[in-house]
Amino acid sequence: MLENFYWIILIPLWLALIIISAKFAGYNLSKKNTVILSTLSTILTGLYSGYCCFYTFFHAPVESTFNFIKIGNLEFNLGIYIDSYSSIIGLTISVITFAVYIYSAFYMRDEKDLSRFYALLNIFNSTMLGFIFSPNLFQSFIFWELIGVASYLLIGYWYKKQQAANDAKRTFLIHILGDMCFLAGFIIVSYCVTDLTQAMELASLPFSELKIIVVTLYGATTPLLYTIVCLLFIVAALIKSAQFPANSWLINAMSAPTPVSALIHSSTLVLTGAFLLIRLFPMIAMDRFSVFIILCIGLITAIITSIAAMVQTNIKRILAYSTSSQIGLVFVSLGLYSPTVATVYLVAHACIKAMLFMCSGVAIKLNRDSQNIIFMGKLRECMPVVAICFIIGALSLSGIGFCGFNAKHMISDLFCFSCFNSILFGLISILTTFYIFRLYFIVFEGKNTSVFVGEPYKLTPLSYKLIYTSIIFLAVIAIGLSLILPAGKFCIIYLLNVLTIVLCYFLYNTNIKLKKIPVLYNIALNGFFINRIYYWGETIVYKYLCVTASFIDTYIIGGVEYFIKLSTILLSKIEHSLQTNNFQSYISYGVWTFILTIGAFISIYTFLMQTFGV
Amino acid sequence: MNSIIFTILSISMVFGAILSIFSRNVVHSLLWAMVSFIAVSGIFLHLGATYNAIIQLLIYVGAIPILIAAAIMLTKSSDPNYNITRKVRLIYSIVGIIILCIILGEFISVNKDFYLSIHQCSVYVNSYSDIISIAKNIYENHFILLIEFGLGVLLTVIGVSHYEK
Amino acid sequence: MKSNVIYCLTTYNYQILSLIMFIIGLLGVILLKNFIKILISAEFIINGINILFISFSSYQPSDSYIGFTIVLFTTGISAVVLAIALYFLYILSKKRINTDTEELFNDNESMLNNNEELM
Repeated sequence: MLENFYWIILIPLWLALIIISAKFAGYNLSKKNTVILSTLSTILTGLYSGYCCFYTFFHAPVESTFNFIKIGNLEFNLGIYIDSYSSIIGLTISVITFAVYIYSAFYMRDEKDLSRFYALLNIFNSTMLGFIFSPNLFQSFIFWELIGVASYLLIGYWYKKQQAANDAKRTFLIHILGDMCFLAGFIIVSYCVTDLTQAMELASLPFSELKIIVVTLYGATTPLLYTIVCLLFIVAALIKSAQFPANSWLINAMSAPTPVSALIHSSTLVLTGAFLLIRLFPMIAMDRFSVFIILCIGLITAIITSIAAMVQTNIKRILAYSTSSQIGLVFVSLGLYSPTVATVYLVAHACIKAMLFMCSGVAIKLNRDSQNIIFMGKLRECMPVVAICFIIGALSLSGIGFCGFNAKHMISDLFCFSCFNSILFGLISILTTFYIFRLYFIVFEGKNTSVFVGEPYKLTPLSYKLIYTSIIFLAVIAIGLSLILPAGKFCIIYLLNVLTIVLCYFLYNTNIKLKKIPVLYNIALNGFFINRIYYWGETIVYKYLCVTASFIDTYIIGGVEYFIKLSTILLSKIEHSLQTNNFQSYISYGVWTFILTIGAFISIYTFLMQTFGV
Repeated sequence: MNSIIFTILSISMVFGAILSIFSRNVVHSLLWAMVSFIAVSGIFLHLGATYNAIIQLLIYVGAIPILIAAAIMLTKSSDPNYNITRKVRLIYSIVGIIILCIILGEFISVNKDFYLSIHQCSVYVNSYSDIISIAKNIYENHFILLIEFGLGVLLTVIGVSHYEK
Repeated sequence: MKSNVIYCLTTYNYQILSLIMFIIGLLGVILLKNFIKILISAEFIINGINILFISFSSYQPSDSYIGFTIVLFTTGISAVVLAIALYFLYILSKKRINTDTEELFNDNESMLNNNEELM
């Protein structure tokens, strides 16, 4: 019964199409209507996902597919797959999208025409749900690519700014790299499986038959190829979730509007990579090396981005690095063979990060659209509710309170077998605490009695209502999650985190002059130069492409043109030289023609006679 | 014997032609051409084409050089400074007349019998010499060619006579 | 010493002679600047061809004198053509009072000027 309602997932898409077609017809939906309709769509999907969650507690996973393409005997299906993983994450996405829609009614109220924004958000929402509820790897790939497209459109929402357009382009290019790896892996697995079993309904690799697929793949491939396939999927997930080698796109994507950052680049888009690995975990778990790689990447990312986040001056950049870091912890938990812990942490982190982005969005708006925290301060006196929600988020991010406490302790329980890893984990949590509370103390408690305490950025009562609705909603969810999840225990790391908070208070809330550590500060400020390396690589590749293209154009193609030009000039000169005004030369031409033709005839005739004739 | 005659005649023919081309004076080139044409006539005679030899002499040595000389004189195409004195001219003419007499004498001596008796004409007439065969060839087999030739000449002369710009 | 080789005079000898005359005449037509010399060289061409025809028909075993008749006609035609050419020369020289060599070059130069204007 449940599977018959699969069309509910596509409601946001239909809404987006309605908005877009109305726009083409010249009729723009009013802001109020778009917001109300979009939030209604998210409520519907949320209710559906909630019911699915409830359903999957008691029943087996449900699948419903229809045939999309049939190539020869290979069947590629689309449909819906309701599983505990997909329903929980679907519910998370719906909840966060609901909050973000309400929030963006406040944030984007200076825009004249919001219908495009909401249309794009709806498209993103529906592609995300399509990915989460996909029954097989084929549909996952389709929606994977569509998510990349939707995020490109949203990052470049203010496309008239050159910076935003460039960042959107670079993001999309990096995502395409991941898509290629995904496609390569998909093709290899699909081919090996259908080749060995000759069961053509497995061509699209459905998740309900995952065990059969994994066993077949393990038998059909050499260990090296199996590792390569797993690594391809890991690379695809890595790129999408902004892990170590590819985390620069997330930093650049912060030129999107803050609701977009809250929705996409904190909670939902970065879920997809980890979710892919969770879905394919039975396959990846067969290969120890891949799992080890996941663990390494997670740890490296977490450390590097935490260090980088400690010294940034741009609010959204701090939160972006924080996102990479926390998803690194998700990868770590996957690398320790527990996808359930990874899912839990994903959900918790999504709610928390969205809330933090929204609070920072309020700060940005009050700071008159500048994201630099140097000019911010004393926001707690302005808007205490926002400050309280930020504290809730900060405490849970650092693992001290609310839902983050539970989730982080679930991860730290996984470290019980390794001493080195637990030391690293402790370091990561200390760094996390440090940067998030640095941000809190500078923005909300800070020394600057600043720009906005007296500045009248008008917040209408409606704005207050919208902000509070969205933020408090998420805060309530965070607290609720903490009640649901199993409680953690107090340990040394907890104490160290609390001490770090005190340290931050002393460093940033009092009038201590801070000196910068010379070399490390620069490295951290530039994000370990990963962005620079990409940029440098792009410029060099582009430069060499341009150089070769221009070389080909001037010398090879131009050479052909030049040759043609020379030859026509030469021919015309010859022809002009033939036209003497001397009748005697014309007589000589006639004689030559005569001699040559007659000679040709005679020679051909004799040759033919000698070879073939009688 | 044949080859000696052939060699002499061919060398004189080619020699005359080359000198005709490479001489600076137009009249000298014409004169050397005449030498060449006489050698050609000798070749024809040596090959047994008596009629053709005589026609060659008539036209190429007798008619065409006169035409060309007339054209040279009318267009003043060469250096008119001929300082030939009367004495030299007299000597050249006497030499020419002597050569003419010698040739005529030879003709007469060869055909002595022909000119002396009339009833022997029929003997010569009845035997098939080349002249008679040529005439038979033309008038029996290629009569139309003759008529066309004449017509062609007539038409060209008519057309050329109207050529006045 | 007497040689035992008999040298035969065949058509080949006359063909080569004809070829030499033809080439001399052709070169004269193409390379000479004086118009009258060109006409004389044209006569050499015709004579070369005449020698060829005569030699072919004289070496025929049968009584066909076809070559001799052809030669009569070619000779006649060459004479007529020469006469017409000289007539043209005469007409042209009446218009210009130059010699015939300069006449040729004047023609060339006038044509050149026309072409340059067109270019």
